[in-house]
This record gives sequence, C-alpha cells and structure tokens, in this order.
Amino acid sequence: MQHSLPLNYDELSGIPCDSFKGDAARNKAIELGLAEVVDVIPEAIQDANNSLALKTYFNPSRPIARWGDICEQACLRLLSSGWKQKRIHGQPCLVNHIGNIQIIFMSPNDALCDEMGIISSSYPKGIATELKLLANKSHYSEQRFIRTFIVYYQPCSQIDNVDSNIIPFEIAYAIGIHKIKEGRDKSKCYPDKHTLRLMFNEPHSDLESYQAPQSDGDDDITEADFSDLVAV
Amino acid sequence: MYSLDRFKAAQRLRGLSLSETAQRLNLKQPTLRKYLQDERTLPSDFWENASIAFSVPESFFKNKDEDCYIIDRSDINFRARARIKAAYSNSTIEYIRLAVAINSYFSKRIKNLPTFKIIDDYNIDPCSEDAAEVAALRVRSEWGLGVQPVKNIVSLMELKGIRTFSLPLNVREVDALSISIDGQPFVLLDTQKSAERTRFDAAHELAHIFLHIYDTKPPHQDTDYKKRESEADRFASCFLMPTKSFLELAPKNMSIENMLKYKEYWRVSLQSINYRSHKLNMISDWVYRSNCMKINSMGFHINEPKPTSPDLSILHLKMLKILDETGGFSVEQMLDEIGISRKDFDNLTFSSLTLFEDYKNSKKPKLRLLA
Repeated sequence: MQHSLPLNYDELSGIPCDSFKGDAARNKAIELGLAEVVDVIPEAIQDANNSLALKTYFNPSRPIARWGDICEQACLRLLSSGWKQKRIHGQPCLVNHIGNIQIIFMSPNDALCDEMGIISSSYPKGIATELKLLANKSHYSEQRFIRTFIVYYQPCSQIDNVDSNIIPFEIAYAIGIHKIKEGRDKSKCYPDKHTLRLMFNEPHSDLESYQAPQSDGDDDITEADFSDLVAV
Repeated sequence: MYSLDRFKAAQRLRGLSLSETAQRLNLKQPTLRKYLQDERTLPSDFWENASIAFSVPESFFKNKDEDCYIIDRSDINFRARARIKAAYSNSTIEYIRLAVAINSYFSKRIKNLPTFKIIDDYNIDPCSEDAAEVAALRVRSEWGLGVQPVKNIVSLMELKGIRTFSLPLNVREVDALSISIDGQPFVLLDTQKSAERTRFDAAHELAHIFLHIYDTKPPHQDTDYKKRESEADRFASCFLMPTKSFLELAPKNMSIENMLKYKEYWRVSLQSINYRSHKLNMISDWVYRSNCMKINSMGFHINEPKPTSPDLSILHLKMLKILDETGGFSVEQMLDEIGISRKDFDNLTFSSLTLFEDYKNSKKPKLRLLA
C-alpha cells in the first residue's frame, strides 16, 4: 500500500493534520520538548549514511542496518539529554520519561516532507507499532500521557538522488493504523491518521557552522620559567 | 687514553659492521680485527682516521664516566620493541649515553636544574580498566595543567625534570624511548615524524615514566609489554585530551570535517581524535571504522592534514645561554669535553646549537658604513 497521491491530506484521512515546515516546525518541536531530537536526527542519519556507503548492494541487510545505525546514533547523542533506549513490545524506542515522549523510527513512503502527500511507512509494520499508535489517544501536545512520535527518515533509495547537505526527515504523530492483515502475531498495518507533521527539509549546515574553540595563549612555557638556573 | 671499547661504541653509534668500518678506514677486515683484538699495535693515525670515519671527535674514544652505566635493551621502553633490529637498538643505546654525557656536562656547571618528582600514590585501583586514564588526570592535576591543551609537551617535560632529547636515529621502527638512569628519567623523541606524532610519543613516554619505569617488577613476557604499551597509549590519549573537556568542546557531529577543526585545538593527529571519540562512545564502531578507512584513503595517516607546529625545547638553549653569560665559554671546548660531534649535539638537543649560534649572531653589533 502506497499513500502517494498529491491530494489534500485532511480530505483523504478525514482528520485534520497540523503541518509545519522550516522555522515553524522547529518552534513547534521546541514547544513539544523535541528540540534536541531535531538537532541530532540529521547527524544520526548522516553517520548512518556513511556506514551505508561502506556496504555494497550485495549486502541484503543494508537498509535494516541503516535503520539500526540511525537508532543507535540518535540514542548516543540523546543520552546526555535524559533520553534512554528501551525495547517496548520488542521494538526499540527512544524514551524521555520527563516529557512522556517516545520515538520510533521508520522509512516513509514518497510523501516525505510533502504536505500534500499522505505520509505513512514504506512497508507494513507489526504489532509493536500498532499497539503504540493505538495508545496515542491524547492530543500530541498533551504532556500528561505518554505519546509515541514517529521519525520518518529519508529512504536508502533516495540518498544518492539528493544534495547530501540536505537530510530530509519528519517527526509525525499518528493516532491510527491502516490494517492490512489481522492476527496478533502476524498483524500488518501502516501508520495512519497523522495529526501532526513537522517537516525538516533545509540544508544541514552543522558542518560549516562548527567552530573549534581557541586555546588561551597566556600559559606558554618560556625561558622565564627556567629563571632559577644559575651557573656554578 | 683512547679505548678500543669506545671504538666499538662508535661502531654501534653509527650502526656499522666490521666490514663497513674496515672499508671506511681503508683497512682490510682481518687487519682491523687484529687491531680490535689488541693483537697488533695501532698505527699512529688510527684514532684520527677513526674520528673521521665515524664523524666523532677524537675525545669520543676516551673512557667516560657514563660508561659505568650498564644500559640493557630491556631497560629501555621502546614503542615497537619486537620490530627493532639489534643494530638500531645498539645505536640507540649509544645515543642515550651521549644524552647522559650532555646532561652530566650541564649538571656539573649549572645549579637548580629541574628535578623530577614521581607521584607515589595515584589513588587508583591497579586492576581497574581506566587506571591509565586516572593516572593521566592525576599527573595533569599535579602539574597544574587544568583541562587545557598541552601547549609544548617537550618544554613541559623539561620543566618537570625529565631530560628530553631528540633522537637523531631516523628509522621507522624507533619513534621514541624512555629510560631511567640513576633515578633520572630520560626521554628521546624522533622529531622527524609529524609534530602531532611527536607530541603523542612524548605523552606515551611520560606514561612509561609515571607508570612503568620505576616498577619493581619488570615485564618478562610479550603480553606484559603489550599491556604496558596499551596503558601508555591510553594515558597519552587522556593526557593530551582530558575526557571532560574533550566531551564538552567536541562538535556534535563527529564528521571528518569537524574532526579536522577539532584536532587543531588539541594539536593531535586526526587519527587520535577519531580514536578518542570512539573510546568515549561519541561515535560507534561503524563510524570509527568508516573514518579510519576515509583517513587512510585520503592519505592522512601518512601526511597529517592541517599540521601543527613542532614543540621545541627551551632548556638546552637556555643552558647554553647561561654558560655563555659566565664568559670564557667555548662551544668547541664543550663538545670536546662531552666527546660529541657538533652535528650529534645539535641533533640530540632539538637544534639548540644552531639556535644558540643564531642568538649569538643576532647580539653581535652590526657594522655600518658611516658617511
């Protein structure tokens, strides 16, 4: 199942979706306690892309390894901000207990950062995703309840086709699923009914912006430090 | 009185075999052997010719106080012990003797030279995995370095009483070495490699001085040596890039481009930054390996990108200036007393003689033509 028609999202999904781009998306992320997530995701994706580049197309697990690398890199960067990685229903999530937020990662369909397209995952998801999204009963900004946000990252197939300085991704909040197969163990579904989409599609400028610190020049050792020395 | 043992020392210094030595002296090999075995009287010009052949002054062949120190190969902390040929280690031992002779010369003529103080108690558990890192931070603390980058590790070691010399033996297998002679630590550094490499080598030898040189149980097996080398590497890494400030100041994205900027601050190699970032879990195994491949493919493991300036000695030049100020100081007399050639002295003391002569020339009044 692919949701790629360039039509109005609200009309198709039947549920209003708050879509934000650029600065508005960033401000909304700050409001929701997701600021540091927005900061680290491009770096995590970039590192994962570097690892991906080391693997040839003959490695059948390239995409899944990239997904693991993105989870790992994001987690490493978020540990110091109070985030933890946990396996919930067997699915790795980044969890922030203070903000009552958890994050899962998935590759999207071709509606990534396209507000007229209907975003969902590129492949059907299992019971772990289903349980989390169905538990998203509250509004995305309601901090009293645990909320699961989805990070949709650029799929492997599109990496080589875009400017490497732009790393598009979305943080989205879905409250429903589109089920394609029943059964607890074999359940297959797509995330559906997104009520929030934060779309980030600007050039990732961290490489250019990092300025190494300057060391102080006043503690150099000079001949004066050996002023005790005297000839016998 | 010249000694045949000193002749053999000159052979070891220059790494010459009997046949090569005979060739340089225009002698037949059996004849030279008879001379060395004291079976034939030496010709009158033997020592003069030997002095030319080995590029050492004739005074080199005199017996010296330093000869009483028995320097065994196992006493020296070499970085790549297994790969060092006997000829190189023998040559190195002779350079150490020359360094000891230089130190002895200055010690007799200059008071208040810095003395080395070992830290007795590091408050660390020797079985702990991060013992080397804790020791490095302790040394930093004792020396009042805070968490800033080490500006000039050579002069820092000199200031803290470690006799530091440059090693003229420019071979790939010998980067640096440290040894304690009569309780005095000596470090010899190969300065022909990149400045970043020399700084790391110096910190590595510092680890041997603090952690191993005064160890009452010397290592016997290869695994002991490897463990010591690994400890010294971890000490050096932490000494040059203390954990807390390294983490605080690091770029969020440890890309090669950002590491290139960051390495300029710590004045270490790109590989060291990559290694340290990995050890501190700032990058994953995959990214570390990916970076290693990139560094190698760009040739940065051979030619250091954005190279830093070399750390220079201050003490040797300072001591020459002090002796010069007393009046009646002669460089030639000093070289003769030590028994060292001008080139060897310069090469062992970070070109201090060249710098001293530049200094003297700069102080000479310039002649002007008056109209």
